[in-house]
Amino acid sequence: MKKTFLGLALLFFASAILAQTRTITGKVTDDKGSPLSNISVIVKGTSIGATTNATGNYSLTVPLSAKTLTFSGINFTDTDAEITGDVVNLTLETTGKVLDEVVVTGVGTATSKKKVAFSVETVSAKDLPKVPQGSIDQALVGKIPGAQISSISGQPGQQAAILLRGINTLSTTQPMILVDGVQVNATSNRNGTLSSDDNQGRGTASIISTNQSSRLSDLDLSNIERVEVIQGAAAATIYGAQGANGVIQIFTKKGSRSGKTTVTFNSRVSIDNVLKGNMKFAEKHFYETDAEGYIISNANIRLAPSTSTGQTPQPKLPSSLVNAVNDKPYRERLYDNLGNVFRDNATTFNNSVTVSGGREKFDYALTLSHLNQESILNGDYERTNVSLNLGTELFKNFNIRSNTQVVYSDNTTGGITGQNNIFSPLNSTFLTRRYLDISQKDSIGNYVTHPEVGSTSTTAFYTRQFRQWRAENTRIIQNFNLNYKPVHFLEIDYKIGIDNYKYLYSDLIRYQQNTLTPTLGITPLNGRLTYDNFNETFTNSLLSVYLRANFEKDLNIHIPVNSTTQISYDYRKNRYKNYTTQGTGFTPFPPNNLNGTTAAIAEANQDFVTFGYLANQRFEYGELLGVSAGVRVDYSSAFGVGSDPFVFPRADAYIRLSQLFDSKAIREWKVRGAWGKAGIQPGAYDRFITLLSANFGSTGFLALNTTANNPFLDVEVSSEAEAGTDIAFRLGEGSSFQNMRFSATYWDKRSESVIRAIELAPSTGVVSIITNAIDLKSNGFQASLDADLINRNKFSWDFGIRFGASKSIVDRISNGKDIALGSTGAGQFVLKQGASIGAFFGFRPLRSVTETTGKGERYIPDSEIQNYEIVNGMVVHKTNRTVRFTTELEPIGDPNPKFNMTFLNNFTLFENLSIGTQLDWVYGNKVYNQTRQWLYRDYLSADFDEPVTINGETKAFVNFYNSLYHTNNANTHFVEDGSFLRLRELTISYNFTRLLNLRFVNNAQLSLSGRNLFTITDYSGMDPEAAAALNNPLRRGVDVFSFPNFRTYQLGLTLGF
Amino acid sequence: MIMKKIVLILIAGTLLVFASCKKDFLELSPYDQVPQDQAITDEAGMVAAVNGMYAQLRSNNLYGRSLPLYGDLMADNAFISTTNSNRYLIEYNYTFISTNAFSSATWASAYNAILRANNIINASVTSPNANQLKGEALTIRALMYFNLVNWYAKPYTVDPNAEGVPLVLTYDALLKPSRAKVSEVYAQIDKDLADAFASLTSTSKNSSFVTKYVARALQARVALFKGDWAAAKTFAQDVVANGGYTLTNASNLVNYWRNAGPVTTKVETIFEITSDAVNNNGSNSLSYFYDQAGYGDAIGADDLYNKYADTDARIGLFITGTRAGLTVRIVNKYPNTNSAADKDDTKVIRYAEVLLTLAEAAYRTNDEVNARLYLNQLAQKRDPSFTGYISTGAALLDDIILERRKELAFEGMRYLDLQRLGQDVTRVNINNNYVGVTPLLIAASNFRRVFPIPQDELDANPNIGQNNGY
Repeated sequence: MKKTFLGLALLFFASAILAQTRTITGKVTDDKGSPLSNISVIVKGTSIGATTNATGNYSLTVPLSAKTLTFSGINFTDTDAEITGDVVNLTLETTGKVLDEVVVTGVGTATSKKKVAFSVETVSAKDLPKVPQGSIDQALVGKIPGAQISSISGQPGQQAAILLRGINTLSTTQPMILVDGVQVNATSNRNGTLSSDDNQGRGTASIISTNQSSRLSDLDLSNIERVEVIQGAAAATIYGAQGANGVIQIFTKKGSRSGKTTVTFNSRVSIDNVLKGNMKFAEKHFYETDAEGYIISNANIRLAPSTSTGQTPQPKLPSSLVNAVNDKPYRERLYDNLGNVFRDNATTFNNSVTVSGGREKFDYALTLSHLNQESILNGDYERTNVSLNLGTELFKNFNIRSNTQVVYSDNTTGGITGQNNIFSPLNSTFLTRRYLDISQKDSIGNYVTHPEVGSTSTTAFYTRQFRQWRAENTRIIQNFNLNYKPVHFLEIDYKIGIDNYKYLYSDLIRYQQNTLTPTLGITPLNGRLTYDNFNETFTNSLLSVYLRANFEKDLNIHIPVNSTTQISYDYRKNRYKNYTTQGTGFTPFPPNNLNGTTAAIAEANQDFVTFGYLANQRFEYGELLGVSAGVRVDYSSAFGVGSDPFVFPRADAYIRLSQLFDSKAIREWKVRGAWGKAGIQPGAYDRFITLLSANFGSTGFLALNTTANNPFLDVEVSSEAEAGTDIAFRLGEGSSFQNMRFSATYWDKRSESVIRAIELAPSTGVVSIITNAIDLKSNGFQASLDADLINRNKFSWDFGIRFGASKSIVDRISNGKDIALGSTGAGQFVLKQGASIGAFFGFRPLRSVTETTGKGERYIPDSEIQNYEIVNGMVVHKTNRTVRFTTELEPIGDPNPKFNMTFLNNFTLFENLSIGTQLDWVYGNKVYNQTRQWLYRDYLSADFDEPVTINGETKAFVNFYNSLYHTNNANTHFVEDGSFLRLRELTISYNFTRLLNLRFVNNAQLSLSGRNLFTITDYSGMDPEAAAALNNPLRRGVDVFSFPNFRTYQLGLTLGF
Repeated sequence: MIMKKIVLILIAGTLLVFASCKKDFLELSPYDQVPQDQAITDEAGMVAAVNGMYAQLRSNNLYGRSLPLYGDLMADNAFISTTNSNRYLIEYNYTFISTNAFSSATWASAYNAILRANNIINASVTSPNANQLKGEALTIRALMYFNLVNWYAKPYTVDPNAEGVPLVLTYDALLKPSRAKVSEVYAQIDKDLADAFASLTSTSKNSSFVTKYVARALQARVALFKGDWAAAKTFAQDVVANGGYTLTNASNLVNYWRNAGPVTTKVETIFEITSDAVNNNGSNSLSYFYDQAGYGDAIGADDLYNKYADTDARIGLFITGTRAGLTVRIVNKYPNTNSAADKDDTKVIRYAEVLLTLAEAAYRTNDEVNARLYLNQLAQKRDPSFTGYISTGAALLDDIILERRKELAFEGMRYLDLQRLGQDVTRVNINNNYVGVTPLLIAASNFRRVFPIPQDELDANPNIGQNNGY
């Protein structure tokens, strides 16, 4: 101690006596004259330096010998300035935000984007749209080049389908979601009736609901500072056996340690209206009519609703459909049932307040937000979020941060759809005849079950009266982060997160046996109450050690190399519990609760543990180039026999060509390449050969599943290589085209041992076994361009393009056999070697009367040829007027777009007024319009009005169209172009801070925005985007009474104090 | 420096601790499912497995719908209305190929029931009731093989050396079994039923569980299908003499069929597959397919209906109604589609069948007196004003077969009888029962008289061959 003091004292004297010093001050501003804080100012060639304060000023004591100062800061070009006097002021130029941000995801430690060797996409809070849903998945639609993020449902609380980069698996495309470095739960829970339609060939456990409530939607958008996205295995190897689908990392808001307290208040109100697209119904009919042209019943009397039940008899059909023509005008009053079922001007309120601030060594940010969203169809969604982020430096270089998020939501919007579900409001609304009114009531004031006698389905209005869904969710996410840098070459980082939610879903069917139609309604008619209780706890703990060495400084080796070594241990545990309690049979009078009912209970539990080690070594050679390589080893409770670990290697490299030459035009040019493997885990218990349990009479039983589980199951492994370049450049001098950034990446990947049930000989007693059966292959290209086209004081224009194209095919199926999926009435798919994943398979009308089958047999023998002719390219029977179809399944359409593209524009006028637009373009994808096929069954499609010429007669022949229905078998007639161009967002905001001229208000902004304002598409249904099952790679592009998106107008006010 | 060392040691220590305990905490077993190797280790597990085996028989691909439906729809007892839900038209019209959904599903479901039975038969449990439980499994395995060999292979009476179905007696998911000969399959059925008879007791909770005399009655049926008349007579006589079963009175016949649950009275029912208010096939049930409150697609043929005398109680098992503009005979054997209390069971074997088997076996062994005796015992019970059959020779056999048709209609036996007798299916088109595309004559020699081996099986199993013609 004494020695040290002596040394310091000597040094002091030496400095004072031997080295003369002077003090330099100055101010750093950007090209618009705004002060820049946190810019580092260093005497060139030394470690003497300072940083600018909030007003952009700095003060620095330098030796007299100092000649030059180097100014550097994130987003700004490093600039040298001569010391010409005691004051050195400087204007720094921005380099281009894409290239100079610091990113974490995929690299493990904060790294400048200039030195990252794979593509990492970043979206900061100001670029996130102000959507009323306030969920991160919706906010990312169109923002990530290469990713297909689509809003597939207008139901509040249901997330967008996310497909980041090609298809890696046949289970779910959902990427891993991290919040501040810790994985959180991002599954979905049921929010409606169960549907086994999406049982992805993986046994019985994956029966899911078509109405979902997403745990991703719990996260509060107003608390998000920044989002980083990595899209594939090349970048996600460090996440090991769960990284193959890519990673979305969310960074929450932190306070600033400037000593100032900031209060930001945000209030938004919006109205939503459904997008009806090109949806049309037939304007004419072919039913039997009386002399005055009114439709008659089978009893030959004019149709009229019963005065008691309100039901109308069925219309009389012509004795034979063969000659029926859809050309009779309705004399009846027609109802816009589809219009009636949707709410007009559904209102959403979204308010949030953030208080943040801090002092030296301490920061805090508290956000409270409340969302109340009315569904355009049914019920509403209410969510309250409280988030608290606290950070402090406990002692020197020891930082601790706590991030708490508490969420409560109450969602009554579920249960609205579900294909082939006769109680689905959308289904029955579409299929109701036009002269019937679904909002009709009977003589005692109940809504009619269905306005037509003989229908077993129920209308939306009846369903709302007698059924109620509710999903309440309480969730706490708590993350801690401890970070210690004991010495400059060592950093120890420990993160732990606990994420728990309790989700209580209830489904109440009221007692209906005292209605005027006591045998009709929602079964069971004596009522039923179901409580489905989910409780899931996810724990993620991550310990990382970083060793950093500068060869020159630390090792005395005179080459300009920096080394970073990362060693991590990562542990995840998930515990899932589900209890279902169901009571059937209420008394005719309230209360409708479980007491007194016939109760049934069930439970399902699941535990899952995985952990892994990561070692990664990175070398940087000066500013010029860098290489890194690493390996991740994973263990999991879901891996097969012996629990052998899986090893995922990775490597990458970049070179900054712009360092090799000096160019005014090209400010940055990096070429990069990366390769890596990552995995997707099997289902938690897929490796156990277990018995299913169910009931036989009053006793239980056990039996083997007909899909056998497999004790030898391996992880699904995706290996990916990508190559790309990032360029920042400018065109000429002046205020236009000064800040241009372009990035492009080509990627190619192969996913092996993808899990799928493969057929066994049924005579063994089981029909299939879950196994690593399939290899998938995909490749694609993504690019982005950001340009500050014009940047003047009074006017600036920023422009951006995001582009992505990819193709995924089935490369190999272990037994070489096609796997048929789906069912009639809900879209049909086949997994076939060499075919696109998720391609529709079906039949097509014969094109020629002499067409043959694959075996060379003629469909129509010569003797019958004279009965057929070609109509609109289809073989049609001349007298029956029915279309003749092929009988062999073939690919009939691909839901994968040829490309998707987004155009972003932002105009700023007079600094205060800004206009932002986002235009999304999805091109070349096909949608199977199953809704239209059902409408063909019921003679309701607008197509029925179109005359066709058959056998010389031109009329709207009913049998022709009805035969295209083809008993719900998938066929080419219902494959439509799903391309669309959509104005996703238009925001006009006005900053009136100066107008207010109040000292305590430092930000006041008013914004008016619209979402989904217009859509240009040829698609004949309501919404081509709302046509997929959530994150299911095999059920994309099928519209079966889908819940369409909506158009939003929103008014927002932001005040900052 | 010391600080740094401490930190490094701590880190290394932590990593080691984590690494050393990995194997233990990765062993997570499912909570709510019992691993296979722990399932049938005691009597309780065996009881659960036996229940699971019975539950499989309720599958709509087996006794829950398809098996009894094929037996009448593909014969001459039932037809499908032109107003229909598009189900079973392929079977009804004989247009099936190897990818046909229903016949493929029946194959897979039957073998799944066999798997469930195998696991019980092969379990090494030695508790007091283990023999009874194994006997139940042996009986069910035999019953499944009986159905498989009759639907997917030529009748024994036509060619016992024809290719039968694979005999799978142990569980192995990766097995690729080849077809055994019809006679080999019957040998296994005989053995299983004999073993079952030896290990079963004669009491059970109710008629939905297998007893000694369930096995005996099935032995009689199997012997009849082999043309082993002496054995058929012996087995049937044993049931008649010692089974304790009775026929119901004519006045009670409709009520007997209205009762949806199993019985303990030994009246009529020997063995049935139970469905109740909670565990049932819903809209995929047999009753839903006959009952006009359900799909109601299948209708009783007028040709059959016209064969009952007006005084025959069995005419009450038809309701005359309207469907698709026709006056039709709606089947009333399964009337509980709309009942919230209980759903219709499917009868597998009834006492009446045993009497008819005994009558036929007597006739075949040149004992016409007893043949008429047993035949009239049933016929006169059903129609008290009937004076009884007096026919002899070939006419008597025709009467026995006719009585079988009338008695066992809509229980799935008719087609199987035509198969074993080597007879054509002849549909008599009265009152427009059959529309233009429906074949009225399906010769006994038609290759579609046996189902194709399912394509799923052919795809996954290289050791199996297809039936001729497909």
